[in-house]
Amino acid sequence: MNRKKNLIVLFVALFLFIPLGLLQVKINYTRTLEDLEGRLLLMPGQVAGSLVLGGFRGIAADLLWLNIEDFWHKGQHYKMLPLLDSVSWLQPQYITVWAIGGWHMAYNIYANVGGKSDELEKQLNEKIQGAGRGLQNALKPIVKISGEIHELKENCDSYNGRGMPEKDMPGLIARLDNYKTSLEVFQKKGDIQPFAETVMKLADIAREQLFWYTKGVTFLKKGVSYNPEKYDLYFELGWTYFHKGKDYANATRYLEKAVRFPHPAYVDNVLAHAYELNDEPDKALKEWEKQLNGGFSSIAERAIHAIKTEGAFNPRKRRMLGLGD
Amino acid sequence: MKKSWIIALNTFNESLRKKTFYILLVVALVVIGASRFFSFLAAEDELKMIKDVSFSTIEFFGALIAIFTALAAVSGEIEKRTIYTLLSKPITRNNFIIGKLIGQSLIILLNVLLMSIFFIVLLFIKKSPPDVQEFKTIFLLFVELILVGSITLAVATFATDAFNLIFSFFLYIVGHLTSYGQQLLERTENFIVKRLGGLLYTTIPNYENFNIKDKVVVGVDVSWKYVGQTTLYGIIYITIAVLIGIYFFHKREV
Repeated sequence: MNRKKNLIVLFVALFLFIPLGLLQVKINYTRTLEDLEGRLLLMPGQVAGSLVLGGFRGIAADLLWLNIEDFWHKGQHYKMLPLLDSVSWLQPQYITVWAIGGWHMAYNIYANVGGKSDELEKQLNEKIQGAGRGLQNALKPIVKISGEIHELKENCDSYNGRGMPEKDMPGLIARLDNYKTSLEVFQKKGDIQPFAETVMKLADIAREQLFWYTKGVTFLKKGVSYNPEKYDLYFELGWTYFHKGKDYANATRYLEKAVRFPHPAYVDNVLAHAYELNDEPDKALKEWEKQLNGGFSSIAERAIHAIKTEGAFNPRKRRMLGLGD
Repeated sequence: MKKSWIIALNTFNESLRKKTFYILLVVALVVIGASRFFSFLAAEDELKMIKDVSFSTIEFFGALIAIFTALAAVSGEIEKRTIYTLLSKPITRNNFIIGKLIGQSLIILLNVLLMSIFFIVLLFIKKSPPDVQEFKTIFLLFVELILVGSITLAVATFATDAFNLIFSFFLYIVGHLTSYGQQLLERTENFIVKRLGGLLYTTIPNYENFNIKDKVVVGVDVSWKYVGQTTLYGIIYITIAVLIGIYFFHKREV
């Protein structure tokens, strides 16, 4: 090949960069349309690492996930948080990380943190019973606060409690903060101080539980913002509000969004229950009627009958209305 | 074309005789097999890990094999002086470069096939047969690896092995990051930097185009249109690399 032909070859090679550039624009457009963009957030201090990971984000996310599992089993919950965030940054469409992360926070860590209070309460009661009558009298305000904290926790956790609706959350936190302020007075009093400290710990635990529940809900909401076209995280969020928070207004809000996308039948089922508990029996009836031809038809029939004749089907609602199970 | 095919078969057989190919392949298979150790995780997580590890292994070890095969393809012939015999026969330099590209593509194909079969068997063991999205991912990885190999082959026609090795790995990393570079460029107001960056963005191979594995493992569907566009991108870039290779190989005094 002579020099001229060789130059033509080079010219053709360079010319081909023009259609290549135009094609890249089309590819970028398709990537945006099909949600294939990397969406790797560049965080201060993480830029270098994130960049090097370029083509291997999945592996990086998996390794971090293994660390999360490790921290979870070791009970090092706070260490899980940045890792959960990192995994979600690396693969925001990995629904499992949002679902499991939210569940870990709102359920597992919540329960794990709350578990410490049982032992503390037991110790406190034993100490109070072992104290002299004079000291017992002096401890009365502390015992009262301890009882109220216990009641608050019971109200949040028990099946028949009020739960933790978002609108009540500031009030709950304020109450716990007030208890702590009241207990500070007793901290300087010699004999009473250890009792006051224990009750303060109980208040802290209750506060921490509320923190983890809120954190779980917030995490799920963040997941929803990255995956708005799938039912999964709307359902997870709705379920967390419904089951854990007993926040039926928010539960119906997110479950209604979940049923707009292809979803399994149980989502409709939960939505019907949520409507009922949110004092929307008409909507609950409509929702059950939709399920008459589905996999939950026999339950739907019973639900419609119970709501029409007795006013409630959901066991919690029935108990609230004083009806039998 | 027949002459190129003869060179291709020769390159393929030559590569098969090299221990590097087998070592890399065995290590890759061990890594893919090791992903089964995540059985303590929930089934869904384990499956994701198997897919992540397998795709990344196919890509990474495939890139190593592509680069090393391409490196040996030209410099090996020159070192052993077999190139003089080859070029004195009625084989043109064009035949030589095209034949080398086809030969190394066959080796990459064999490597991707073996690793993919191993991966698919793993999926069957986990009772989760692969769907079309997984095959799309593997196909695009294959096109990416041929592109990696063709660029290394092109550079091999005018540069030393050491330079080529470093350059190819550097380009492999940078090629996966161009989209981030583009994001930064969009925020730049300096005209010269913007234009220069735009030029670099077009000329540097965008390997991230071929990277759909992170999305496929989390259930995102990739259209055939995208696969087609990206394959066309790969073909155009491979053509550019071959033409540049031919240009420099003609200029080289061998």
